Amino acid sequence: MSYFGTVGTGTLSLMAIYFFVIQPLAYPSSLQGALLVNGFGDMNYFPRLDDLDNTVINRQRLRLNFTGSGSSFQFKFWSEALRNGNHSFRPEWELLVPEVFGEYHGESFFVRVGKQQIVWGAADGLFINDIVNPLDLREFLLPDLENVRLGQPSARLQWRRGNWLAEGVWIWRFAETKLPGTMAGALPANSSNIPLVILDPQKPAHTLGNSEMGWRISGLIGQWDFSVNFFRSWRDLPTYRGRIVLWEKSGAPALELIPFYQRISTWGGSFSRPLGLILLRGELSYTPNLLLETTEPASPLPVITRDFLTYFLGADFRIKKARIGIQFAQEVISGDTSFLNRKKLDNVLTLMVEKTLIRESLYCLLFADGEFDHHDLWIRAELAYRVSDRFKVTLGTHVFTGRQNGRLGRFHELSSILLKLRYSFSA
Amino acid sequence: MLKFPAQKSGNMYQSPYDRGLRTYPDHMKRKSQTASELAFLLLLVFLCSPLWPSMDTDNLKRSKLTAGDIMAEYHTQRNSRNERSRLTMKLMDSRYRERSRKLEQITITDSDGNQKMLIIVQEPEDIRGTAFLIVEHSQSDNDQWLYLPALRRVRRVLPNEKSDSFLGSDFSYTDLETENLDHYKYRLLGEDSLDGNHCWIIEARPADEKTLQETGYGKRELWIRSDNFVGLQTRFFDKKERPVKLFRALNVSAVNHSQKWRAYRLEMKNLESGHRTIILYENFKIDQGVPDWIFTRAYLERRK
Repeated sequence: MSYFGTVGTGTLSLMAIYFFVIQPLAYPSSLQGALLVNGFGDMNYFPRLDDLDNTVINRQRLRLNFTGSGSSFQFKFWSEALRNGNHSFRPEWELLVPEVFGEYHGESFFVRVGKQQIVWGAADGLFINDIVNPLDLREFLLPDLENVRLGQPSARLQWRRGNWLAEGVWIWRFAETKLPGTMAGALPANSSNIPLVILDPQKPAHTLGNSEMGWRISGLIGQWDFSVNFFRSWRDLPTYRGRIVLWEKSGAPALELIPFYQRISTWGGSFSRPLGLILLRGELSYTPNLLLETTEPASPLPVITRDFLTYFLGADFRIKKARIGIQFAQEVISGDTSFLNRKKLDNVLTLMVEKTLIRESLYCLLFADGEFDHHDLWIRAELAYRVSDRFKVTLGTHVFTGRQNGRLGRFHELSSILLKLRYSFSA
Repeated sequence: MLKFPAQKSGNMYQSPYDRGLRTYPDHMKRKSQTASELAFLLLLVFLCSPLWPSMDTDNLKRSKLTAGDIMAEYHTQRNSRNERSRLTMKLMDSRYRERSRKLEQITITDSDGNQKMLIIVQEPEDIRGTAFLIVEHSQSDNDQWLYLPALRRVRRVLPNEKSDSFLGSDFSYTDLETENLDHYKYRLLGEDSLDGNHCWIIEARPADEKTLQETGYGKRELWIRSDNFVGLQTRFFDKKERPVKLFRALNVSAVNHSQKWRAYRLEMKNLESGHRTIILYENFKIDQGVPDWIFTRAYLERRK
């Protein structure tokens, strides 16, 4: 039962009391739009490609959404009960509240308070400015995207004027990205032969001063659709600082890694514009003074400061009624990188092909994400067929290839066939 | 000039204008044999002359309308200051297997006459919340955005994606747009009677290659009612001018207090596959107020 831990018992209880008791009693007319209850039950079965008897994901899920809306008020309570047949990465039973929030909208402003997902950015499959929420990467990006992004208790205020929108975000409690353990290969290199000990991470205290804040301004000028954003936050991924210690009993040395989270500021922006029959898209994110691990985590200089730039340029177009999106992304680290764990430049190319057939009953998706230098590749292919308006079957595969410690190759154990069955309902 | 069917066949339609113009003077001639009677009649005609325009001005004007005028009137009739409706879209294949979608459609027309339209999917469950926004521009291409709840992302509809099926129906994205009259060349083909209504038949051809590529239609033939300018039927032809789709508007009636006419049942038939899409409107709320801020990309993003 992990939801109390992630939402915060106090926050959840207060919100539930307000939205389900105080608001309906105080303003019964605000709920005249009635309560909608809907959801789905689904089954996700992902047998491993190299061992069909074992699964990467074997999950049954029941989703229930409660949505109440009035003329200017809305609340949403989204709950999930999961049973995980494979509990390598997750507990057998999980009861989750991914989102619970209330919102109010006036003519020019909008406010939403509660546990929610906030999505920035314009990239497909890349998280460049989509940095507000931490991610659940225990199964990498195999689950549905809305389950990968972790909702956080936060307040979001938007103000609109014409085609311009200004948005402020306040997240009062830090949450880190969930990693899949040592399988991810996310740890710094251990060139020595001594044993490795990973200590509990040093997380920021839940204080007002440690809260996260950001803003975003987006607008439309002619055909240019663009945004600029800033986010003062804690990095969702840990940085490791190492030291050599001696075991008390044996006196043998060990490398002790201390994960910690860095306070960072990120500037970003995105644009899209149709040009003839092509849609151009781009996005950029810049983080100054990012702490990066060196190749010697136990050295006197286990981490150094570098500026970090990520961007992509992409184009969407149509061929034979298929929508094709190509993105070229690059990560650039400033200064000398010869003693870092990562290269100065990382080049990524993604290709997405989408096509619907049989009057949108059949949806075909091919997504390939490749890294030039490491020959890392992730291929995701899916065929989703709507048997009826409520029942959908999805068949496909995920293939990871490349170096064992590469960005994508490290997930080779997640290479799998996928079968999803989903039945949607409403009351 | 227009040719009414009554003049061609004599048994289909006779306009009030024709009746008045021919019978009134003849009738007068039979009655006016003397000078005094003639003077009296002239006086009567003179005194009544201010009433003549009010009786037949509309018909007189209609008889002089060009194809462009008719399309402009058709455009005016379709547009309202704001409008909200709920509808059920039924998709039926040639074997009458049926799927349905429930939608909410909201439109607004700004002071420049540009229309904005928001369509929100209510059912089926797995695409609930999908929203489609069209923003017309008089000086540039229309913007079309699609909000996909599964991705929580707003993305633009590509220019040549506009000829694609909307939600699996026989309507394309471009069929939903109010057409920009400058992007087509119109020609009056003639007249016809459809469902007992006199109609003008207008041919619409793309004025440029870009419109042709975006819409995928080589031409269209529209049947437009002469009394209220409601489009009752459209035949769609592909780039090689082969007929591909047939649109019908049925159950046309005036919407209360709005002086606007709307069809409560629309049918679009794919002539190649036999697939049909039927749209049944539950209601129309015209000029009863719609907030303009919902027709923004920002509103779609709020749905995340």
